[in-house]
Amino acid sequence: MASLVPEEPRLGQLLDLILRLLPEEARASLPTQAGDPLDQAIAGFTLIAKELVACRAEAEDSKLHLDEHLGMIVDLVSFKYERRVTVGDAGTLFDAFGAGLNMLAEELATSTISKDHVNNIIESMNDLLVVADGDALIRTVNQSACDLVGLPREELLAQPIDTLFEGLSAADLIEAGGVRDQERSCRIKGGKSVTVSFSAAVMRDKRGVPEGIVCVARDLTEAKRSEEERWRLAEAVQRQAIILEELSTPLIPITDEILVMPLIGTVDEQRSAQILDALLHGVIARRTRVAIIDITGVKTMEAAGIEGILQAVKAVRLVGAEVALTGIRPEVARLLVAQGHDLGAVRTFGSLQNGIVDAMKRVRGRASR
Amino acid sequence: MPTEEVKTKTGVTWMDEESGMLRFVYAPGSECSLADAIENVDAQVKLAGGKVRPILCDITKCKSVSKEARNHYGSTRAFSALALVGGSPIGNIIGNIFIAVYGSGQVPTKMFLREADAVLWLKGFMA
Repeated sequence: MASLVPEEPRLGQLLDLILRLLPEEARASLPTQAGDPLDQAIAGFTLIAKELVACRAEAEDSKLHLDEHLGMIVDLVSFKYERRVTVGDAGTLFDAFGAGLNMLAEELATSTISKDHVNNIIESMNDLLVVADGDALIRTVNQSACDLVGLPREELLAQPIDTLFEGLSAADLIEAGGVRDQERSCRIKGGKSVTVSFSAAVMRDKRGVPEGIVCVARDLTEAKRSEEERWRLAEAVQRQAIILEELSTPLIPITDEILVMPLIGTVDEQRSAQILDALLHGVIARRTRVAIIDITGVKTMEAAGIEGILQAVKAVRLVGAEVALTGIRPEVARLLVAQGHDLGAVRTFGSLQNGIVDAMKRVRGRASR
Repeated sequence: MPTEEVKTKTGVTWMDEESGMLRFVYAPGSECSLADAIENVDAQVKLAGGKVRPILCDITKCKSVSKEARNHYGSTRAFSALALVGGSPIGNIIGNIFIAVYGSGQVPTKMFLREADAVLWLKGFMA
């Protein structure tokens, strides 16, 4: 076609232009030089138009693929792995790239957790989380840390970690390989501080080189308060127990030499031991001559209780005092007899009044001798 | 020199008696699911006749291999070595991603563009 010599020079220019635009393999399909130059030009333009249409279609197709792939990449970057791109049957480079993206999404979906998910976990923690870098500067804090300290995140980030945890040496911590459940002071807004339970671990890179520390702390304010409350309660219970003990074994001095212990309620083994103890102390301390144990108010008395009271009687006599037992109810008397207790050496009276009268006589009698 | 050929849903597999290795070629446009992967491996194990042999897998015309199917291929101990031949853009992508994820497993796995290179490499794993 290049050898065609059209009569009209402009037609020649047009044919030259067509030849330059056509791909080499298409030029052969043009009419030979014997043909009409106009027919040649039309045939050339037809080929060029076909080529252009194909190019436009390919460009359109490429744009669609690129848009689809771009959307997929944006999703992957956003840790969204559900989307899949179209992979055609032609096996083009776009198809290959799409297949690769689909596989990448599948692999990431099973091996990666999203930053949002991790952030959500960190922010949901009730405990304080503080991460410091190799220079001991705070790089991450969670909401619990901000809440406790009373400062916004921006004011905590990039601060040395010991501004938050008093006296904390990142170097010592790395040297020790971390700490667990250590009580520490955490500075909060307004120059105050709170006690926290502090644990920390050393964060290392793939080669094992320390690159920071991860600290978790728990505010102990409430726990301390509860502990103090428990102490106070325990003390109160102990005080009440002492009062109860005193009330259960009261000692009433009638004169300097006569002491009465009126018992009420139930006398069991434990209480009879308290009776023995209180009576002995009272008799010795007051140099009592006659001790009266009044059991008028005792509703029930276990065998071990009776045994205990008799032990108390013997013990008081050993320290030089006399003992009288008053207010013995019929059921207690029956129990004493049934169990074969010998009360021969113990003075007994039906009422406390009689017991006191007797005691006073005996004391006076001693004094007159 | 194939002796017995087994056609599965996603390709054809046989025992190459001459080289002593298993061969598998994906059918054009095949999309391999877990069930397909299980079918393929089962067929290959039977063809191996009780021996653990190397396998050459031609993925040139494969369209996709699902994650579950890749897991199955990546976890099987049925082969002494796995050579992937991916002479197409998609085959190349599938093979390279498979190797990136499962290539450090117990079965030596390598990607090739030419079958002859793959055969040569697999001969090193013949018992």
